[in-house]
Amino acid sequence: MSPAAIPLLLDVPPVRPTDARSVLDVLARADVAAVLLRDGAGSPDPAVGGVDPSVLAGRLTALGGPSVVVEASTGHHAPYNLARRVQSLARITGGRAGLLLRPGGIDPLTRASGAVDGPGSFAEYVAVVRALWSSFPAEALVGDAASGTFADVGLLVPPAFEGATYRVAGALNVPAAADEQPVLLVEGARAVPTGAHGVLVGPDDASPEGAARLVVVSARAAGHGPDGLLDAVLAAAEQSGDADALVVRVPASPDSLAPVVDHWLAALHGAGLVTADRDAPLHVTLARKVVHA
Amino acid sequence: MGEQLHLNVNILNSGVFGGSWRHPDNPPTSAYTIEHYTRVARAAERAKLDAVFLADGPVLDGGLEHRSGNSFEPTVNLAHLSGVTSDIGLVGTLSSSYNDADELAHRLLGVDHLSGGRVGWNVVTTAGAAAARNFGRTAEPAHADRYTRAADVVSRVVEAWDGAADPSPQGRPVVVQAGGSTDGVELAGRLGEVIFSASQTLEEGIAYRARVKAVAERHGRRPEDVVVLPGVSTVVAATEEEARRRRATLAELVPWPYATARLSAQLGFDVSAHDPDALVPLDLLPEPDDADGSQTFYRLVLGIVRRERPTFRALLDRLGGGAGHRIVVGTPEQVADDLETWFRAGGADGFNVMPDVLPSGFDDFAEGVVPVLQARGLFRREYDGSTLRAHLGLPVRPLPLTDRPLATTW
Repeated sequence: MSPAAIPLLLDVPPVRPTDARSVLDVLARADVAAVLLRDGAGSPDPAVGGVDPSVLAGRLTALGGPSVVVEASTGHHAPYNLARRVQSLARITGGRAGLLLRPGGIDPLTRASGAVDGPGSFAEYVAVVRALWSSFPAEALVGDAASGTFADVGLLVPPAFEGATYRVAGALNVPAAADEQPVLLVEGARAVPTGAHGVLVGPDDASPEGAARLVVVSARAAGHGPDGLLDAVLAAAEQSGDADALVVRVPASPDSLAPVVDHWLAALHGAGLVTADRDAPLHVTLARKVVHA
Repeated sequence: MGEQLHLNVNILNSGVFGGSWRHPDNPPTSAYTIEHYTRVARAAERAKLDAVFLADGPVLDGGLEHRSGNSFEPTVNLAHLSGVTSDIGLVGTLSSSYNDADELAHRLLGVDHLSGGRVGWNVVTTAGAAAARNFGRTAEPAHADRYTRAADVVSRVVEAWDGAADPSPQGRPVVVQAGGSTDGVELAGRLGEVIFSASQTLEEGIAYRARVKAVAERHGRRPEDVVVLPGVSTVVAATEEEARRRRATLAELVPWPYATARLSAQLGFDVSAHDPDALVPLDLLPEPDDADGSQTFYRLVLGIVRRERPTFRALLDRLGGGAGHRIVVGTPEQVADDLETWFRAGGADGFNVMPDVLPSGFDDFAEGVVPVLQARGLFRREYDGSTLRAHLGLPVRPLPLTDRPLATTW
């Protein structure tokens, strides 16, 4: 790869149920570091609700697609359930999965347990998810038929998390992928919680401390045809010299998405602007600043 | 009862027996790879089964030290399977206790769209304090409260599906239910379209099926719109002697600490404190509706103890480290005879097949038993439709939904 080359993530808006299969078929051939599947849950327009990103990602893993990052709001998912779905994706893909977590208050199940939202709830959620992801190390799966020991339960690390908002015992029932945990991303450079591996920021935002910097390329610029996309990515790469990855918004309708994937991406690769090792775990892709904890 | 029976395979991780994972046919930890599920689903589709089924609970299985457990989250797993299969139904278990109704409806409808209308939702209430502690609670909710919530959640999910901007390709995903308790039968008869049951004897099977269909009729439903599929564990081999040997091997492979711990949990007292060769004492066993936890399997084990008066050791061998589903051992012809008998006698509309070991034990079923059933005209040779609802012959009809608001305390 050329020195300027940088990993690219496709930022896919909520996908309509009736478009989902065609969209995924296109995304499966995208030569990018990862696709970021946005969540439309909570949109006032039911037609924009879109298919749940973890479900889209589940199918994409069957199509041999690139790494997957699913967006989810804390307001819609209990942490155990969400952590488990992302861990499942990571296990299926060998560590090529991640979560873009959005603060959105507390979910109905957690609220029903008597918990209340607080200023530290988002940071707690991040901590719970990270702890759950490391609660069932791959090496705990022994499968020693001779002795009858299936798992070395001494290696499990149940979080036994007791926070002001969340109380989660664990462990997860999905083992970690052999080498890598999923990556956890957040959006916006302000108040980055401890435990986030990467942050989505604008080109002018400062680099977050101890986390990868994923620069979001202006969706408007990217919408102006192949040349617009090339120019936008070029500008973003120059403007954000220390970016660890670029995030480019693409359309979610199959007809508009196909030219992006089939032609524009080829142009970007041809120009030596972007790199994509589709088989690399996301941690490796974003490795420059990722702190393994 | 239709002219043909329905078949569903329960991909119960490594197989139904406590020692299935130790069987030399398969790699011990294969159930923790996605290829395991892909392989069984593709084989099931080749055999024209109605559906694959994934059991689940949002908790680490307590017996993990000695046996494999459920792992991949079912909607992610089924979404993956939708991409490697084209016709077979995809049924997943999602807890009504520990999922939000709106979110669950949305997520499952997404899988349904991705699969072209092949999804079924197995509604379960989740027992146990261990699961409760993953969701901010300290103890499991009472049995009756779990079922009240289940009814409310099903109502909300079905209403969300029926009102979706992009409706299901099959009209509505199929609602699947299991439950042997009084609360469970009521819920099954009112809202279930496919019922997974657990009966040890044909008499029990006939009575259970009749009970569920009677509850359905009481709620204004047609009995044929409820498909009852008893669980049946299969041990299939080319000869009867070989099948018996295989069954004996599977009993020996169950790790003893696991078997005793599981039976203790089912019976409600510490089995390991008793002489393994003593008779299981009846006076320690309460009536099913007074027992907490899963009443379905408690009933089964209680039935075995009352009928057969076994020693602890004999009971453990009998259960094989499984939950207590009926186990059929024999040649393909013999297993097909058994299934046909149940079907023709009104004990079943079909079966939820739980192979002894996975994936290889399902191959024995699919390549051995299914062709016999097909030759007898009891099972399809090709799919007639492309949705789960079409495979099951279930039209979309309004379900009698609750008009109670969801309990705000849970």
